[in-house]
Amino acid sequence: MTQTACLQGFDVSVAPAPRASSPTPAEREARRLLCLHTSEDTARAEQVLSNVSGEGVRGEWYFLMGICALRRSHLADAQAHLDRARTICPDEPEYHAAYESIQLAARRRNEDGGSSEGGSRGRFCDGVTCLDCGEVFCCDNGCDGCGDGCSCGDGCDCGDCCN
Amino acid sequence: MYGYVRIHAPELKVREHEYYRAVYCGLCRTMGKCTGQCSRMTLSYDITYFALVRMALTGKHPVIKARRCPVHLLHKRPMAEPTDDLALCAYMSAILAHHKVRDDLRDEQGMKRTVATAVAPFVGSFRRRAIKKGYGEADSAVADAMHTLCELEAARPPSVDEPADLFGELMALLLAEGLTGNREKLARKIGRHVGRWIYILDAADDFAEDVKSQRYNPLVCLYGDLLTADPAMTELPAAKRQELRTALLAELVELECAFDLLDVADHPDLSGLLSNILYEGMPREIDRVLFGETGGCAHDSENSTKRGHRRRKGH
Repeated sequence: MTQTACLQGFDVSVAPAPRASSPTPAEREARRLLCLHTSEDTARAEQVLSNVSGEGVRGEWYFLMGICALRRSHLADAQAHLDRARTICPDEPEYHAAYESIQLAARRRNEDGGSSEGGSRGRFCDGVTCLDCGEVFCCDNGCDGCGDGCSCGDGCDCGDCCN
Repeated sequence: MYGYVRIHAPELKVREHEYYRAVYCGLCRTMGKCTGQCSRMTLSYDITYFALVRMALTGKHPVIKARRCPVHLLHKRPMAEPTDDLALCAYMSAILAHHKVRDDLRDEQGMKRTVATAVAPFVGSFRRRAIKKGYGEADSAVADAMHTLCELEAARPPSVDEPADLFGELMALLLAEGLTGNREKLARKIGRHVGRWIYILDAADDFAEDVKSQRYNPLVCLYGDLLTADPAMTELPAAKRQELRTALLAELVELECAFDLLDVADHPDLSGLLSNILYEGMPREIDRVLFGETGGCAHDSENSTKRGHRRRKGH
């Protein structure tokens, strides 16, 4: 996980709002996998999508690829895919919301300096790295910048955090 | 290496700047001793930064003495004495230089290829010295990583993050060489994100040139539709540069999280230097490459500097 809570804070729903065109089986399967929130399922969703080619590559495909990239913390790719999705389908609010959620999180982090004002942690984010699993987690319950837990559950070895 | 990981000198204390110069010159001298005098030409800011991070990780700080060097004959300069960390960075620099030249020989044309052909025997000898000193495994690992990266680049996926990941792993491997336990984990995390940051920034820096000469650039693959729509496009649109800035700053967020766990409290000069690079040097380098020095993000840079002051006062 890398700053997932703030930059991946966009969930896809299994049943999206009605669209002009119905989802293809590959898109439906990818969306289902992405709802499961594990790295293996994200990789499988990506695999399903990468098998699609030609006319199957449309707005929804770019959107789902963008979400896959976001889950892998591939922010540059995610933004490019989501931007393409909303360009292809400008009337889909879900695509706009996904793209805007990244921009908003980045703006808040960079302009407000996260929640570091008056705090002792850094100014990009209040997260610390768990030395057991390598994930970033938050020491400050009030911080919405980096999430509040790492998946290994062992907490941090640093000794100065609340986990 | 590329030289993007720099200090922002105006925000450094004089003693921090002296310390940086001492490490830079000490690393240059160590390279001369370890891998030959010619290898000093491969010295870069990025390798100096890696040396600073290694010092922070191992807690072994070099003795600094005033010495003369071939470039500064008249006045003695503060220079770090060779240490294990400096030697390791010298050997890593030699290995990277060798594989970079091999890469250029394979991919480049014209002047760059001629230069690569001319320097190949020299960098080959730097690498042989590194292997003799027991860095054969690191050399093989770098060769494998470069090979995988070349294969991925040849496939031209519409992604900048995938090749950046590979380059990040390569940097992680080099920075974590010889470390164990939590230090290794921290080194890997720092190396990975610095490597990713360097790769993406380099791709953005080379975009115009690569489009012109039709060379591989991951951003050309990623934004292929824009080039198809506007074949005359030679520069990244402002919106895409802003997106890249967001992605590059996200790498710095990760880096910051790792730096919070470095134990450098007993060495304020090193701590100040690493903070300066992270909070001033690297963000400014992003703005320089993406927007030009007086580009659209001057306001943000100003804010970032103010926040930097607050942070340093807090420490």
